[in-house]
Amino acid sequence: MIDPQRRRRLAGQVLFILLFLAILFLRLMPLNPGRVIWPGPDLAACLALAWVLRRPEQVPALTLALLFLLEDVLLLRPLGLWAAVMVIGTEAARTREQRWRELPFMVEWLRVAILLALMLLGYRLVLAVFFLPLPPLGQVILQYIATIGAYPLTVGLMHWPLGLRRSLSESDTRRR
Amino acid sequence: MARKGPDYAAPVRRILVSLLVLVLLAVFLFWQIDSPRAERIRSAVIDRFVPSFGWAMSPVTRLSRMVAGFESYARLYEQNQELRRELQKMSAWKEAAVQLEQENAKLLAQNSVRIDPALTSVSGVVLTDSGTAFRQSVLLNVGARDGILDGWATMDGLGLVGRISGVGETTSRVMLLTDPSSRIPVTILPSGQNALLGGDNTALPALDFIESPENIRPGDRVTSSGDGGVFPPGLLVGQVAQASDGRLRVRLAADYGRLEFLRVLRSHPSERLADTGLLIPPPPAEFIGPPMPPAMGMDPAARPEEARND
Repeated sequence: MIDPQRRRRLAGQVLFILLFLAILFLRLMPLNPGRVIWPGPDLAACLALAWVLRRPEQVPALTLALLFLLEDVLLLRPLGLWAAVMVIGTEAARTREQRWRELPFMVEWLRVAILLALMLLGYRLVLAVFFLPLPPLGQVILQYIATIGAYPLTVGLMHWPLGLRRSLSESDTRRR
Repeated sequence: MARKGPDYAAPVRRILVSLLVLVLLAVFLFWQIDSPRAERIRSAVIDRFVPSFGWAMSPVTRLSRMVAGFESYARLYEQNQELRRELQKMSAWKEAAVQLEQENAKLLAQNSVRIDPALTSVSGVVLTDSGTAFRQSVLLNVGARDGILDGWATMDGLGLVGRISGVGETTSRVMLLTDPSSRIPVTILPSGQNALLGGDNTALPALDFIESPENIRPGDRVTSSGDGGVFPPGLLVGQVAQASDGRLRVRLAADYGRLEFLRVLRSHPSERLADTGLLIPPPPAEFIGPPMPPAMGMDPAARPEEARND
């Protein structure tokens, strides 16, 4: 009925949504509610960027926008702002995906780090322009470092159990 | 992304994506302009979304708590010793408390004081964490259905935890005292000074606007002051502690990090004396001299003040 390419795309999309929701679920779990903790990595952003750089056709912008909007709602952030920043960031990554495909992983990592820094900067700038309370800079930097550190781990996890690697040949999805 | 023929897909896609970003920014502007309504929508979404997680969340949480419990078996002996010592200390305190209670009861009976009867509470279970390190809040499983209102104080067994900010139908959010946007008026007890307790995302919130900090020393009790009608007065908040930079902070009495059941205090707004004029003597007459005679041919009931002046 459905041709295999489309089915694979749909399966990838569903898998992405499930992983995203699982990360959100883990963050919301009341393991030690009330305790002030170190900001951990923003795994959802890692996952989205890594996935866009591997299977861009499986994560449409609309899905990303809706998921990050949900995250904004649940995590008490200003509604829609981080989602907009995330859509712009992933679009920037998506247009460069074909050019970055041949490069070694270290270069991709560096570029993702720069992209994420720009996204956080833009987010903070908008917050400052609208006179919204800014999260403390030290904690944001810690979270940024943790996120960058978690990026290779996310990629490794996607590489090994999920079989998602950068498609070196032209983006036909014949090879698994 | 097959590239055959003229590529109409890319420009169309670009337009759609920009539209999407614009929609998201419009949501942000809506939140910025009509914040109360947007927050109400947010709590409605949370209300729908989070309780459906409950079936999965409670076993995982239970499991992790059990693991933590097993870890504590490892230091059972030390804990036992510690508990014995504490028990000894506690029995001394208990004696003191009993004496104080008797004294208190006696004094209250003498004065026939009525303790505020309006303070009843609703208990709730913590559903979720805030999920980020930048906000400190928890979600409770009681909401508008149980009569919860915005702004009510929330305590655990011992001390103040925070206040309700955001009520859904079946859930409500408690902003903890450590949240960066939490500010509550407090009284520091032996000296009776008022201060403002402001959270700043650290475990010990800071005291601001203290009139004479030299009268305050670490260990002083901090309670809510009830100024501004935010909280009922006299709820225990914690003890003063001095940070290494010399700033006065509060070590919270509530067991943060193990918030499981919380009590939401039903606080009814105290009656306000809005018409201050009645407490002040009436203004003096306009001129000095004998009072005006009642106007001829006028209904005396229409001028009651002058009739009373006679």
